[in-house]
Amino acid sequence: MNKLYGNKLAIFIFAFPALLLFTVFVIYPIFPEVLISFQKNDGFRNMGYVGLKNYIDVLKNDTFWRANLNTFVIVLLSTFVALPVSLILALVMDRLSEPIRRFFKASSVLPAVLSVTVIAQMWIAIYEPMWGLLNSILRALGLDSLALAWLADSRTVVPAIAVAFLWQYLGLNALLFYTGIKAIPKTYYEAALIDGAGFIKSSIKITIPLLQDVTKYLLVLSILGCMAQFAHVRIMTAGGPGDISRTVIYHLYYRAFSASDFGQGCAIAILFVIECLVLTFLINKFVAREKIEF
Amino acid sequence: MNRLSKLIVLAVTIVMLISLFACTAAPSTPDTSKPADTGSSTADKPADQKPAEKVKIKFLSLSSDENRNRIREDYIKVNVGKEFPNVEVEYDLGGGGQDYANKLKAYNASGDMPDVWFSEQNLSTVVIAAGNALDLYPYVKDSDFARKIKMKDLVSPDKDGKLYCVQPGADQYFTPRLWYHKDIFAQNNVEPPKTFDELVSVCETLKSSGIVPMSIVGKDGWTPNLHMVQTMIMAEDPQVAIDLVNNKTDFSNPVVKNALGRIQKLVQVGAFADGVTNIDYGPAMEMFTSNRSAMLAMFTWELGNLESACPDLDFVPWPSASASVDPNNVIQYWGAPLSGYLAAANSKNPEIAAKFAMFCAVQDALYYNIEQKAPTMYDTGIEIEGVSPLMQKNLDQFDAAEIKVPSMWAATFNAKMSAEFATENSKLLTGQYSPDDWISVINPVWAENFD
Repeated sequence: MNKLYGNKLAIFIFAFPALLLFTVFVIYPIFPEVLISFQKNDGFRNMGYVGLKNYIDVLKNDTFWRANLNTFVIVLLSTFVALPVSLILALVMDRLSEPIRRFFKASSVLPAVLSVTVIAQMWIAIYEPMWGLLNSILRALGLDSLALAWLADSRTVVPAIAVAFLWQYLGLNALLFYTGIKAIPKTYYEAALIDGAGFIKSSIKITIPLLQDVTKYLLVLSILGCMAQFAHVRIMTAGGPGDISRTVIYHLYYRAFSASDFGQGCAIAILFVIECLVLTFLINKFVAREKIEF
Repeated sequence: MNRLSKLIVLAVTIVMLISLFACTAAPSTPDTSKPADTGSSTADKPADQKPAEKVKIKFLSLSSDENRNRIREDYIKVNVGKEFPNVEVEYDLGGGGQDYANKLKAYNASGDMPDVWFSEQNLSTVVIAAGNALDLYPYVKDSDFARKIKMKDLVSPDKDGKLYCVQPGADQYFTPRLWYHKDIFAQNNVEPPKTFDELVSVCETLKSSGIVPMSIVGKDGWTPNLHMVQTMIMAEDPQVAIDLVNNKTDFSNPVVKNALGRIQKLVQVGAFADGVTNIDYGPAMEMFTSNRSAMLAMFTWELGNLESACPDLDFVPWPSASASVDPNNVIQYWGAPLSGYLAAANSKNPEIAAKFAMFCAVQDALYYNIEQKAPTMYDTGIEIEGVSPLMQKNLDQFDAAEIKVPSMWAATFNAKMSAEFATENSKLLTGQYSPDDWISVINPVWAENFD
């Protein structure tokens, strides 16, 4: 078997199917997209080459930058709020008794397997300004001034969508963290206990450092998932009010399909690919480069 | 370069070349002349040879509004078996608004259209420009359908000799009204407004009583898109709306700015519900029919549904914003030449698709004649009896109005204009977006609208 793994031809044969699919469906489509990004194109006809005009128009457009900012806000909330919350949930889950843990495990997965449409509609109902759950609770608590039109207010619409999106994957991420925790040898905790370390100290000194592989994996998954955020925005606000809650991908979709401007749509797509490549490079450069063996 | 790398590079190159050839091969361009070449005798051949074999066609329809759903469920599905015993119809429900538009555009981009679909003018033009719509004229010109259409323009070919759309001619009678609950008005001691200032005053009174003054569809700027911007223009000077439809002026016209200012004013006095920019068609209707709002801005295509849901229903023509405009004398109507049923140019069964499109248009007419007691340009032979007083009032005012202006949205805008108009109107409904900003965005798009 080892001999087989050392044979480069064998490696190539094994890798070929995946390579083939990746080339046809990922690499190849980028080339016509680059071409269209230099055209005035309505999706059906090339109405002439326009040089860098599409890129200049996109970069000069405030909506593109707002869409980037919105996407960035969602990424930040995911990285600095949702992932830490998932980690805390995992740590708590590890301390629970088995029957309660089983319940938590099942309920953690449930939102992730539900359709985005169901989740989005549920949150639309929660955020509804007149009879929604959130405002009803706020009014019942006498906090009428905080009862807002969450999805129609420019100050709250993006975080409101982000909460719905991040909530959906909070439990699943917690479960993945929990799986990582279970892989850490018990002996480390026993030694820490003898040294007098409590739950918080052993979590900070042992659990979190040893979860760096899982953390990196979830970080990449979460950031790229947030970058590609589309469905929740489409269902919950359609990018509105106006264009205030558009993400980059939604803006791309709007330019290409709603405004029938595939030239600009493709220019946005190319810029987005570059953004994602830079982000992936940064994650690989700065996050958990050394593998810890235990 | 080592051997493995060379192999990988070679394989990737081969795959990309194959993909390139596969994807750049000349697509089977839809042949729009096909129907003209396909005489009825040849089109009938497959049916003659295999009479028992069922032909499958796909039909895409709107599914977010009650009228479209009832036409499909209670008329098309019920009658299709009698009319087309050898046809099996697959129903594709496309939602509504931008969802429907985007679904149709995705079909259009792929070139794989449903055999028959319903679309408004701005979407129809996109499909026609892509060569994906069937020229229906060869099928329509000598048909029973053409003979029964009272307005012959609806079945006449365009300047290129083509006819891409068939419709029942109900749209021409649809006009936006300001519906209101008589009981709520009486309880709050307010009179139906005749001028814009009165409308603002009524809204303020109702708002102070804790009632949502006016229900509108705010998501994607639907109500301002479909009529409110034009309504507000016509309230001050109908000629500006006529000039816009005929591309004789642009949106920098001061009347347009005033019109946008009036919508902004309504938002600012709280005429609409909280979070209006996120209120969809169904919830907007429900808000009015459940008496949570006193007024509703909506077209007359909902008259039948509203009458059955609201016993205290009445309407006023949209209040005027100028002493020189008599609200009873101006009408904005919805109809447009390319709003209706279209068929796919690359349909495997073009004749059946064309006949099914005409059949759908007839079912539309039957629905409006029977259920809504509303007239259509297609003569179904049904005597419309028992017209409700409200429908009669609507028709009387419609007929008496001397100035009738087609809808800009339905008859004039292309896809890009529609999309930008929707975005800007959604912003306008926040109340924090100035008419000047609106105009600065829309005018350049308008300049390209007729290209």
